[in-house]
Amino acid sequence: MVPGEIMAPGNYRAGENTVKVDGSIVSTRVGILRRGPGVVSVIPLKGFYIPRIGDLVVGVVCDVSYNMWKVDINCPYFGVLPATDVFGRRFDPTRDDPLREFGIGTVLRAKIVAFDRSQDPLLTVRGPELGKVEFGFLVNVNPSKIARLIGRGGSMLSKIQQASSSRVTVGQNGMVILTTTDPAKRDRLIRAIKLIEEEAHTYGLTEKVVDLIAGGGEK
Amino acid sequence: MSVTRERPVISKILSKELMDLLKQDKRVDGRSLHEYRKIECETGILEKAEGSALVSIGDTKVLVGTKIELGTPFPDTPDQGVLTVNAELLPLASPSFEPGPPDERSISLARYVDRSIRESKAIDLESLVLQGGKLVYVIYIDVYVLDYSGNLTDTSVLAATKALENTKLRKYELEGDLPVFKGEVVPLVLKEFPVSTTFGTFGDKYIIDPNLEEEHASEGFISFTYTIDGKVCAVMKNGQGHLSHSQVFEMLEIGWEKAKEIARIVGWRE
Amino acid sequence: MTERKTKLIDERGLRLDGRRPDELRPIRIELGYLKHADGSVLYEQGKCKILAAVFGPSEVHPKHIELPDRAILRVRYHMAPFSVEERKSPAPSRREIELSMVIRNALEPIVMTELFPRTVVAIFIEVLQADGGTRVAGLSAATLALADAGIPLRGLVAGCAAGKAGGTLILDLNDTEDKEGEADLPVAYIPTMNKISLLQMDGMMTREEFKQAVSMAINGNMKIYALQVASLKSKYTPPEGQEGGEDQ
Repeated sequence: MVPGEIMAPGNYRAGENTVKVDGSIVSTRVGILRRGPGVVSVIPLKGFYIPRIGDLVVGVVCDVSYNMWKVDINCPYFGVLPATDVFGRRFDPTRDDPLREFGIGTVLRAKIVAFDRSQDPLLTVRGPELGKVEFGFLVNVNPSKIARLIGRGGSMLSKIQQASSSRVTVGQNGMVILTTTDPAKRDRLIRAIKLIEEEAHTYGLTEKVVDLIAGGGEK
Repeated sequence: MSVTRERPVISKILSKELMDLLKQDKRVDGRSLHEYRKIECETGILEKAEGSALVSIGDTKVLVGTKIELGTPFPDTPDQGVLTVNAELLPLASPSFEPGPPDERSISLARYVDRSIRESKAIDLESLVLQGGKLVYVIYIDVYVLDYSGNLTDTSVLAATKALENTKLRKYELEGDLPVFKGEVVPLVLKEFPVSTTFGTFGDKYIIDPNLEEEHASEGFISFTYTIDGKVCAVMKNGQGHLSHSQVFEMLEIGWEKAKEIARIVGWRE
Repeated sequence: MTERKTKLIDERGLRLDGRRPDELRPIRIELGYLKHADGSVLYEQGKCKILAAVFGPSEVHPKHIELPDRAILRVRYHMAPFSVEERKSPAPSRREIELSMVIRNALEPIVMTELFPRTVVAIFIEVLQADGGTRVAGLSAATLALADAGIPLRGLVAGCAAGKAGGTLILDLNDTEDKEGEADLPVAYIPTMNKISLLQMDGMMTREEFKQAVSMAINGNMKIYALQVASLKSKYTPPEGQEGGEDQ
């Protein structure tokens, strides 16, 4: 599918990455047609992340002010993490210095708390497994492939973590943290992730991925 | 860099009224879809300019002054005089015009006026050469927008054409290598009379000569410049609407009929 | 009347480069040419070489020009100093300023800017080598770069110029035909909507010739559109017809 290409007649519902033009449903992006019951959508080849409330994201602090951090979450809008989220309601800008807590370049695991068209996404780091990432390797993944990387019910991700005996954090925004300290393993993990990106639409992918991480068959 | 500009805020009530009226082929000021506002024209009003014209279409007023000097020709046209057009959207003409170097709107207006005059071959540039490759007449056409109330294009092209029509130039003769003025002043000969007509488009409807509100509410514009024998020498689609080719062809023909009327109104005679 | 320097149409009705009047120059498309840009393409049409790159949507700087309900577009059409015979100064000329605006206006209807309020999509068109028809080739390239970047679009825009040279109506003028011919008519067209999004003309034509030339340009654009679609689709070919799967 390419932008403008007709996917279905007008009585279908317009799903993701489609729009109604002159009574027909057309694709808005380059990608693959997906038909569901009464709805058509497109799985895009390339997409950028649009925040959704509740998403787990991985971000990098890129600016600090006296009462908040600006976080790059790989998205057209910067994420905002208010200082009160970390310091609590007793936050006192004369005593508590956000810069000392999370400096520029700090990597965070956060959740999207709020987002609408008139304000930038609001983040929180309160919660289990959220907060500063002390060490790890960041990999950028096409956000439209994240669902495949996680797998149905998390199946692909848990197989990846098992096969590599290491923790992998996948942010919905396409930023992934690899925590293994073994460079060879890390290298294989990166290649496995790229494989998923390229072949997200195929069957039999999980076996290939597990094989690759374990050090076996290469593409 | 061209950057999307904020559209002037037009009240939703007005824009709804405009669209509703359009559906019935009517306009807010009572005109029909293909009717121009009142066109007025005065020429020869600036003493220090070689030629001048003040044209108003409705409340839009444009003053054009021509100046003629001697200069060097462009390197790729050594045997032609030089024609150069500049347009100023004066800050006093509209709250949306700011002082400063020409922006994309004034540049695009100047270039369209230039093309309308140049491509119509209204001026025989080859007759404006004193010494091939070295010394030619340079005609400066300065378009001064005094009051902006919609449709600067047609007003400016008309003012430029009329200004050229009453332009007189001092005849120079070469003595050796020096140009000498012997006192003879001759009119600039205009071989064509280019007139442009502009439409504002709203979906599948179009109106001629949009006024200020119609311009703010419309999606896009298209202008056609015609020569006296009905040929077309410049076309410019502007703004953001898109058009079907059949709409373009219809507007082309309607524009031609109106261009003939306009030429007569401003006193062009066969 | 100046003497024409070169004969634009010969006795067999063929043009300087041997093309028939309604023939397009060969087109070559290389998507994703720049790794840094969100979307890019190297687009060649005859001897024209154009690089188009897209960045965004991203935050707007300075913030005061952002719009609350839609993304803004920033378009820069620019010719490299070495793109033409006589070195062109790198500073933007009046022509480049006007064409940047004209191209932006032609793209605005197809980019779904309402999906990303308060952001900017930047589109850069660099003409590396010019040989006539650069504004419309630049527009065709910009469309491909936008699609390559994954920016949601209502459709694709294809552009090419028709015109008149040696008394004959021709398609896809090269530089000589543009400079020495009678008229140049760039047209950009959205085939899936059957609408024109850019139309300019300079020169001299009868109204009848104008209509024929527009139709000729639209036909040319349909062919270019087919090439655009083919190049975008070839970037994403599922192996052996497998589609949209998730394994068990």
